[in-house]
Amino acid sequence: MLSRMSVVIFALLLLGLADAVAVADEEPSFSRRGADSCIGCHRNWDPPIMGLFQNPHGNPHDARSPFGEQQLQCEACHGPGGAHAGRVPRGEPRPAIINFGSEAGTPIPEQNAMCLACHEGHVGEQWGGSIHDLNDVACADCHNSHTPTDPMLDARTQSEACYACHAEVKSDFLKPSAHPVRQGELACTDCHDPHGSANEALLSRTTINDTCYDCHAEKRGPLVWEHAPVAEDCTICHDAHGAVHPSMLARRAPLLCQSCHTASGHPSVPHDSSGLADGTASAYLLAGNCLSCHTQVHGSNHPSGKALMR
Amino acid sequence: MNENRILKIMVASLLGAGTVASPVLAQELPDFEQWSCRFCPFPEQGVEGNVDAEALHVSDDSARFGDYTGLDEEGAYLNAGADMLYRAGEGYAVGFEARNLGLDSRELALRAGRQGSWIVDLSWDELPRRLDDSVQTPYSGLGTSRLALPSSWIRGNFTSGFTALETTLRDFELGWDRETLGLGIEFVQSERLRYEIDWNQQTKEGRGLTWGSFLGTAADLVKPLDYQTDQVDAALVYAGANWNVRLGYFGSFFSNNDTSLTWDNPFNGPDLGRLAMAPDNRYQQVQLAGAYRFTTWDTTLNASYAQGRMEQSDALLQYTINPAIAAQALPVESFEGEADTMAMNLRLTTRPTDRLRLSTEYRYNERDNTSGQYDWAIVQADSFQSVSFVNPAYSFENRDISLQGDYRFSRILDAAAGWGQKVRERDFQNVERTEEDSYWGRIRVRPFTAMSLSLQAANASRDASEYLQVPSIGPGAAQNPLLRKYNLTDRERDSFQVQADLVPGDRGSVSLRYERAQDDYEDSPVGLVATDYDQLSADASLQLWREIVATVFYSRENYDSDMIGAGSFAVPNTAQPNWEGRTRDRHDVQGLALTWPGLREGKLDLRADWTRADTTGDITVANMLGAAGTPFPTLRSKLTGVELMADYHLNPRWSLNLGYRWEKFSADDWAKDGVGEATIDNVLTFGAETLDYDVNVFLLGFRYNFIKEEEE
Repeated sequence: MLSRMSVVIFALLLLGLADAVAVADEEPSFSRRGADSCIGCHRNWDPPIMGLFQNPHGNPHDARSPFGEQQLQCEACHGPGGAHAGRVPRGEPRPAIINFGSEAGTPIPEQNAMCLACHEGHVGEQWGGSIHDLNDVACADCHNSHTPTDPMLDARTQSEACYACHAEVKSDFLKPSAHPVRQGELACTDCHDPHGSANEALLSRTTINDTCYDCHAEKRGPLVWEHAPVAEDCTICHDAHGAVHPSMLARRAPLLCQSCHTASGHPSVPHDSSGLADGTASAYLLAGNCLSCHTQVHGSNHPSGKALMR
Repeated sequence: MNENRILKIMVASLLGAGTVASPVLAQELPDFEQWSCRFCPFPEQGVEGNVDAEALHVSDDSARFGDYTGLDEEGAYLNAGADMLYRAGEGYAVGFEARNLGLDSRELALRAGRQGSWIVDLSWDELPRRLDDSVQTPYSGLGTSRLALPSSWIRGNFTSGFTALETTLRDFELGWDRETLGLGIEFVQSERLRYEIDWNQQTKEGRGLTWGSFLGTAADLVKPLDYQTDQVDAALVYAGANWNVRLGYFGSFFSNNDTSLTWDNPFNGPDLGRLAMAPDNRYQQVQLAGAYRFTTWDTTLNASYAQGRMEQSDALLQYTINPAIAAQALPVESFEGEADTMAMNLRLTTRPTDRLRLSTEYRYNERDNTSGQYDWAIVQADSFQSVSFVNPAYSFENRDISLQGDYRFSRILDAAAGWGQKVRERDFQNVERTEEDSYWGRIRVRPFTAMSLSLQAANASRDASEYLQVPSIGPGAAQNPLLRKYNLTDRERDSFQVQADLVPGDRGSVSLRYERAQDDYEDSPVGLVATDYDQLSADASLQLWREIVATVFYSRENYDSDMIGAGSFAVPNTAQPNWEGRTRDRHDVQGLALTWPGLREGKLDLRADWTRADTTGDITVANMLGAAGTPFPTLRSKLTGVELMADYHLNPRWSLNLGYRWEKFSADDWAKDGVGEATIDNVLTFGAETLDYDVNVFLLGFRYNFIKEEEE
């Protein structure tokens, strides 16, 4: 074990060593007049950029802001713009600066590194190697730093950015039983952390169940009588984004329950359509079906709750 | 290289002196005297933002339409909102946001502070749940822990014997209000160090749906909801140039004002039944997480560790409330439920060349349930003394490892592949260990700048260790030995996904996506044996003319599942497979949105949305395998919505808003259709219906923008 640790530490040291001796190439220069140079040409740019001065990026009183004292203004994010803002010989293209978004010419890792330079402490903790990082999602694919308010920070508009890649989820929220995302009462980020997470599906809490307990804390327990799949993973029975069946269940009871319960008698025998309201009106099919008796399907703290009936 | 330099490099390499974080800092800094930013329109002191007010008229009562929105009753509503910011000098500011102030879904947030120094947030949020307004019950005491039948109630062996039912039924509503008060503080001590603390208190009050049963009879009941949950998230974050560390604490403290629910038995038999309500619980967790980014090979190392404990120790109810059954002593008066949790992950991502990216991750989490285990003298459904049984204390251990690589052959083509393994270990369950290996590959092609195509395929194979029989209360409760529970057994999963994106020009874009996933539980004689999921979605956006933009969305999803049953009334059940259950669910969505901003010289913005969502569910239960089976009536739901909005900007300060919304929902559900309170012989129900609605909402409102005179 010790030797494995030594190898890991040595490898990390090597990486750090290479970092420390890295020598930068000759770098381009900054513009002569900073943001004034940029605004001169881009004041009426489409899409508009001047909303930046109403959002945190344009706040001159925050020392960390690009427009804080002795900060690099537009070039803090777009890189040195001396060549871009300078005179360009006739017929030659204007040298590019760092631009943002998947369609921009700047490589996405370079774009995102620029954002992380300031937002390391906000989003850098789990960004590297996260599924969005590995799929080359650019920060600017979701965020807009030039508008007065970022649509990602509003539960009513945030989901639209997510649907751009996760179209299947948009339709989930239109199912008859779904969490209230389409109503604007829940945001994707209430459960997921798009900047990366140590947990599966970019969940914001440690496990699926821990995430659900944020709003459904009464199910946490631990209870005297637990229903094993409930304690382990809510998604064994529920589709968290929405479902055709009530209570966001993946399948309709009693078939859902009968997938795992086959004791002799009513759990094991088939309950067919002869048990509907116009037939024998079976308690196993109608109204609360299995739950009419096994009420405490999420677990019971009653000393007689073994069968989840109390 | 002298010793000092070597030492410095070693220290620098350990501390991460090399950085990708601020590439611009490598340049010579500019002459800030010349960077006066005189064209920068920094906001001045004063108020900015807007307030709005509106009158709404809702055409019909509907719990379902009002669920989450608060628009559940016919009539007029006055509503208001605000998004305001007062900027004081030196960067101090106070912000106020409000939404739906006149509705039960209101939200308020007040934020004050100085960006980069400290910020305090105070918030209030209401979420209305309107579950059902079609229900009736003879019980009184709804919303309390004691449900009583009227003195005129006449009991019977079956619901047909409830001769006083008709005269005692009363309408009521199921639902609750969730209210959340939040307070957050962020304090930035320095450019690198900041502290965050968020506290919120959620209350949930109202009436929930539950059920109560005796032997062979049951009743729909109202569960009292009087919950309070306090949550605290606190963190200390230190961010270096290319590394960061976060030390956090999370606490959740849940309390329930109702420990039990007691109800009168409407049927012949024991007089009273009593259910346990959710006990108070608490969970506390400490977390340590961090990341280090190396310049070399664009390498990132992430790690996190979290240790927590969930606990509850509420006093227990007695075995039964039925005085006819001799009370036995409980093994403990209160159950000391306790489970320790631990989670960690380690992830290394590197890009040795511009073309190649590699990533590996190890993730572990466990739930170690250390709660006491006792021999409980169970009284089944307040009806008879059953045999005693020891409660299992479920523990889990999950270990995931993955490795993936992505190689970019050219700007046109890149390929990725990966391997993953998931190991699950469990106590007290039929399978102690499952191990799932998965492989996937993906190709992305971008033949033109305007087009990209992605193909991904995956296979996952889960192997379970020996399937064990867990103890049960007597042979009658034993599971059929052929059963394999779907979350514990062997499974073969194949999936693929194809996606095409086309951006032919500045005027529009088209995206198509198809996904299919098939699960085969090939070694399950009884239980879930197969599922088949596929989804096709398409969306397109097109600038039709001038500023008019149309967006179209289409989605079709199928989810099929097949299970095999082995039914028998013999004890124990050792029947061979003798029936089959098939489910075919389908969900179709279509949407069209049109926006036309800037009409009439920029004064008028128009928006129109149309959405349609249809679901069907076809279930067939075949009594003998291979037989045609009797299909159930199709489960259906249809949701149609139209929304029209017009914003007319009278002047830079005032806007007039006109809106119309129509939404219609209808459903066919055999679990509810035709099921009255006494339809089922042995269950007294609420007679709930499918909550169809057809609601029109008209809106007339205005918005006032706070702007400075020179902007007017």
